[in-house]
Amino acid sequence: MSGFQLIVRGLLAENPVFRLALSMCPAVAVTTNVKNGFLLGCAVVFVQVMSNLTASALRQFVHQRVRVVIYTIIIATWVSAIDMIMGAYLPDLYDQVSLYIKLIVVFAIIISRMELFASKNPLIPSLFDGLGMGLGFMFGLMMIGAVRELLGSGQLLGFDLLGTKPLLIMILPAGGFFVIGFLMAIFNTVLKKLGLGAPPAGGHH
Amino acid sequence: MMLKHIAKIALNLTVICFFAGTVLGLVNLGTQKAKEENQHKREMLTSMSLLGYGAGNPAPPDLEMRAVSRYLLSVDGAPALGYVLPVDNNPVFIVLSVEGEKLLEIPAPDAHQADINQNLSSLMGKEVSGLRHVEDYRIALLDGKVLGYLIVGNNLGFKANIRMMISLNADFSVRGMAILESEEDPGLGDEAKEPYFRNQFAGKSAEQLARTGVSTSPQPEEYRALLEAQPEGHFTAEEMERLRTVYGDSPIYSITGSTISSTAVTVGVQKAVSRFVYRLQQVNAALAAARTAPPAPAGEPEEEGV
Repeated sequence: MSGFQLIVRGLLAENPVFRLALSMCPAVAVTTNVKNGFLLGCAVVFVQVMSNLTASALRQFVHQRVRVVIYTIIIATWVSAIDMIMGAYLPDLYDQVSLYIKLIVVFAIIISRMELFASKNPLIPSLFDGLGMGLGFMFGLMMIGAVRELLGSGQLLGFDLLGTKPLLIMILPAGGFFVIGFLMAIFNTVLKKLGLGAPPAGGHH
Repeated sequence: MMLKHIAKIALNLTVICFFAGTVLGLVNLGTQKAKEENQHKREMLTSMSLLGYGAGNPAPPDLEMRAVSRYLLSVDGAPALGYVLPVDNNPVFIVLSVEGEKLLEIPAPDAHQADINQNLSSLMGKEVSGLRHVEDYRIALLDGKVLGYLIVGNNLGFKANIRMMISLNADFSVRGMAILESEEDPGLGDEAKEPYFRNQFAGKSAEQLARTGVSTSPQPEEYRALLEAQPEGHFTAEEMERLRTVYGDSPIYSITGSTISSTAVTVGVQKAVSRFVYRLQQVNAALAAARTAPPAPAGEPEEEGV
């Protein structure tokens, strides 16, 4: 698969939120508006790409029995790195997402891509897989965030559009589950129409 | 065979930890300066806000901020306290014994002097070692008079340390409090940053603060409305007067579901204020003992003291 195909796969056919249903906790927790989804998405892209690259570079060296320990250390390292970088250079934005950044350590999507893809593939494909999965995750968060922000707060990107709050429940956790469910259904219907139906059992691995 | 396995796994983990350590070390090195600048900027903004200045009310040009630095050191093996503070506009370094007896007073030495312990030793004729900076207090002066003090408190919160800045008036009553750094949970302990919690300290005298407790009862409606009237804590004179007279003795109402965080902040503020007041009085007493006139600016609030 080419780099472009890998990115499209992460965005659509194997979208982490709508297709793989991985890391659903942050998909509910941070998506009360578009901006938070975008910021967390950026951090996830960074961590996913760097972790994939590290896992890929070390794939000959990692002892199979301790690979989980090693992957955990790699993820924790890059999460701490982006945590420090954002804290230093984007202090105002960091205040809003700092709690969730630290939680990336336990995002299922990161270690899942390292195990399923990066540990078996060379650097370049792993880079594009990380980019695709990270962007797919960001896309999912922003979609959910947009619907919840519009219906829950009547705003989009902080601009007041509706002047009222039509469905307050949307910014509460319950609303997060509703929106994810509906969007997942719409996403799958659209992909089916495009001929990108459910991937074969076990995905493309 | 088994040894070989153990060695391979150990080597694996060692290499990965070395890699992680190197990456984090480099990132830390690269971001340290920006982080300190942010922290400094935030502290300056918070300081100004706690003194009542902000976007709509800029600080007057003759507002002066002075630092009092506190040091710990050891004199002939016994612990002692060192302070660098302005006396009659000149920085002075004084050393006090734990009991408050003045051991030395000299023009402030350059803190970066490598052999400062040596120099102090020869000046005092005693063995001095382990001089280290502990903290800075800030004094705000307006027209040569003490406007207030800014001190930083510390206490362990629900998970991590909480740092708060407290602004005191010249009579040591609390003007306001703000959280500088914390990692409390949003919606729970993090609410300590909200006006309805943090403004509760405003208007309490040092004695009232020292004896205040933390209450888990619901906060009275009208009290909450008053606290939220000024989200930044820039209360008008009348509002401050009401906080002082009506609510001065009221407890600190805890955040619902976050008694630990609420207590941590309250105790942190209490400790910081009581220690600061005690130390400032000790320094003033030691300085006044040697002079007829009380020194400025640290000597000013004596009459209204605690």
